[in-house]
Amino acid sequence: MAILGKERQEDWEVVYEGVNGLMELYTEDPDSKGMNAILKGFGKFTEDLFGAVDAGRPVVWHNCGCSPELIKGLEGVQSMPIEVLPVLQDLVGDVNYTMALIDEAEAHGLAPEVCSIDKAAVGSALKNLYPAPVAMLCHNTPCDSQIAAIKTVAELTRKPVRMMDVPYLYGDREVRYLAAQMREAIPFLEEHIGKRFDWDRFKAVCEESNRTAEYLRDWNELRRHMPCPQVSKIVALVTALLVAFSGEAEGTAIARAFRDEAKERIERGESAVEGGETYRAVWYQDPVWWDLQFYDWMESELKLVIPMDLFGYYSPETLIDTSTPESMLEGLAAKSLRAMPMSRQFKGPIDNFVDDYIRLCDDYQADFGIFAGHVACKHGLGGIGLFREASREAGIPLLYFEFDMFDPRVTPVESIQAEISHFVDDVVKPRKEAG
Amino acid sequence: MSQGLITAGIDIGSTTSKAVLWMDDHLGPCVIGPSTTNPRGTAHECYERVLALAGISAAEVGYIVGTGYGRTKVTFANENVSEISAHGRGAQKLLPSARTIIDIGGQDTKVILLDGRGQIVEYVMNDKCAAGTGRFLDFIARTLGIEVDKLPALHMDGEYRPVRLSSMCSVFIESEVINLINDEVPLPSVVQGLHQSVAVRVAALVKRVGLTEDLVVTGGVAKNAGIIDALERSLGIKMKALAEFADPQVVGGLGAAVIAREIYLKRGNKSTDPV
Repeated sequence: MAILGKERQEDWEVVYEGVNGLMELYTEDPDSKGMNAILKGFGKFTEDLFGAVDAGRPVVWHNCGCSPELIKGLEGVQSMPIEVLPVLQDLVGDVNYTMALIDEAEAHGLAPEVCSIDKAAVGSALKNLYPAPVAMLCHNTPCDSQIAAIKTVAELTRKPVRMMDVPYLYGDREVRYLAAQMREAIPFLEEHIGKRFDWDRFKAVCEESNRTAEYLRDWNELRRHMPCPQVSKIVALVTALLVAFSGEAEGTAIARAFRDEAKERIERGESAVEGGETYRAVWYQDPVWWDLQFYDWMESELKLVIPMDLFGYYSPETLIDTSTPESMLEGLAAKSLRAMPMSRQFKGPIDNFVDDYIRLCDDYQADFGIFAGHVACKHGLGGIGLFREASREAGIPLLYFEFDMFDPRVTPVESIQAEISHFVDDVVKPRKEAG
Repeated sequence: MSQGLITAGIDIGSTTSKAVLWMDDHLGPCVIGPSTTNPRGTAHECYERVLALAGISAAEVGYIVGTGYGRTKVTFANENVSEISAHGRGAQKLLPSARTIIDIGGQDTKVILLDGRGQIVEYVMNDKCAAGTGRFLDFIARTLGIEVDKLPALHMDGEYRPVRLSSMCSVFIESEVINLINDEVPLPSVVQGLHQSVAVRVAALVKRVGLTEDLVVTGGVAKNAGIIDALERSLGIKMKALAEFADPQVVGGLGAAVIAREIYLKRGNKSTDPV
C-alpha cells in the first residue's frame, strides 16, 4: 500500500520506511520473534490508518491514557492515538521529525513545560499530519500535559471531544464512576460515528484484550528468569502495544510472540546478553524511546540487562469480566485505573508508583534501579524523595538522572551512558564483588 | 607480601592536581599543584615531585591509579577510577565512621553516601552550575578584591549576620555582591552570605541522599572554615574532622592510592600495563 499522498507527508514516509527497513533487518534474525511482531504491528497500524482514509471509514482519536476497546466496539471505526506519529518517529523513524513537531507546538504557544510527546502530538495536528477525526474520546490521565494537548488538539480540529474524568483513587467506587462515564460515552460515539454500538463486538474486543493481557502476564513471569532471556529494549515497547493494539488480534499476536520468544530462549538456555549478563536493573519512569540501540549498548558494553521496566510491567490484577455489559465496562475501567502503565503509577497516590518498583526489583532480582526522570513528568519526579527513601529502606541502590524520553536535546545519549557507566563502576560493581 | 608496598594516586582536578603516595598502608608524601592545559604533563610533574619528596624512584611504586576529571590523561597509571570512588574510599580510610562525604571541588560538588561497610550506596553531583563550587568562591573573592584564603577570617569576624543573596546563579550573585559593596554592607556579612549561599546548595544535595552521620567534608574548599561553619548551620549538625595529618584537598588522590594498594594485593602483586 502506498503511504504517499497529500496528507501523508514525509513525516509518515520516514516512519513507513523505518518500519520496513527494520523488519528486513530483524526478519533475518531468528531470535527476534518479539521485535518482528511489534514491527509488523507498527507497519500494519500505519496501513490500517491510511486504509481507513482510503475507504472513507471514520477515524476516532484518543490519547495514550485511554485504552481503545470502547472505540473498537463500533464496526469499521479506526482508532488512532494522538501521539502515534511522534512515537513511531522516535521508535522506528527519525527523531529529528519529532523534534521539529515539538518546536512547532512551542512556537504555537504550548508551554515548554508540557511533556514533549504531547507537544509533538499538537505539532502533528498543527501540520495536519493526521487523518481528520469524526470525534475524540479521551481520558484525563496519566498527566496534566495530556489534558493540555487534548484541549489544544480539540481547538485545532474543532471536532467533538468526550473527556472522561479518571478519578484519583483506584477502588471499586472509582471503577464504577469511570465505568458510568464509559456508558455515557457510547451514545456520544454512536452520534458522531453514525453507527450503533455493538455489544457482541465489544465482548469480542474485550476477550481479545484479555488474551493479550494473559500473554503479557506470562511474559512478565518469564522475564524473571536468570539470565534474562530476551533483549532489554522489548520491555519499553509494551505500552505502545497496549495503547495502539488493545482489543485487536494484532495485539495478541505481538504479546504471544513476546511470550513464545522468551519461553523458547529459556528452553535453549539463551541469555539476552552475549557472553552472559553481569548486572540486572529495573528501569523506572520512562524509557529512552529515541534511541533503542541504547539498550543494546547497555547489554554489550556493561553486560547490563533490564528484565523489566514501568512500561513493560502489566499488573496481574486485571482481566475484563465479559459476562455482562456492566461487567465489561467495569472491567475496562479497572484496566484503565489499575493496569495501564503510567495511568496506574502516575495518577493518584504514590503507592503504586513506589510499591511496584520495590516489588519489581525483588521479583526480577535487580542489582539496582534506574530512575530515568522524564523532565516533564512532574507526577513521577514529584515523588522522588519518597522514592529514594523507599529504595534506601529496601537496600536497593538507585541511579537517578533526568532526560526527555522523546527529545535527545535535553540529555544526549552519551551523557546517559556516562551516568550509567559511572554508577555501575562506583556503586554496583563494588557491592556485587563484596557480596 | 604487602610489607613495604608503595602505591600512588594521581588526582587531576579541574583547578588543582594532586599526587599522593600510600606507603606500607600509611599516608606518605603528597603534592598539590595547579592544573594546566597540559594534564599529561601536569600528572607527570606532580608524580615526579612526590617521588622526589619520598626519595624513591618510580620503579619502587607497585601500582598507580588515576582519578579526577583528567584521569584518562594519567597515561602512566595502571588504571583509573572516578572521583566518586576515590573520595569515598579516601574519606572512609581516614575516618572509618564516615557515612556522608561532601566533596566541594573546583568545578563540582559531590555528596557520597556510604554504608557501614564503606560501600557507596548513592551519590549526587552538582556539575552543571558553578554556584556552590570552589571556582565560584575564587571568582567572587576577586570581585571583592581579596585573596580567597582571607574568606574564612572575614567569615569569623564579628557577629554572624549573613546577607541573603537571592540569586541562584553565580553570574547574577556577582552583581548582587557589587550592589552590597556599593551600599557599604560590612564585608564579613557579605562573605558570610556567600558561604551561606554555597552551604544551602550543598545542604540540598545532602538531603537528597539522606543526611547520615558521620559527615565529613573533602576537597579544597573544606579548608575554608567559613564554609564548614555555614554548612553546620544549614544542616544543624557538626562535621567530623579528618585526621589532622591529612589535607582534605588530597583525599581523592589518597583514595586512589588506597584503591591502588587494594587492587595490587587482590591481583597477587601483579601490575597491569598502564592505561
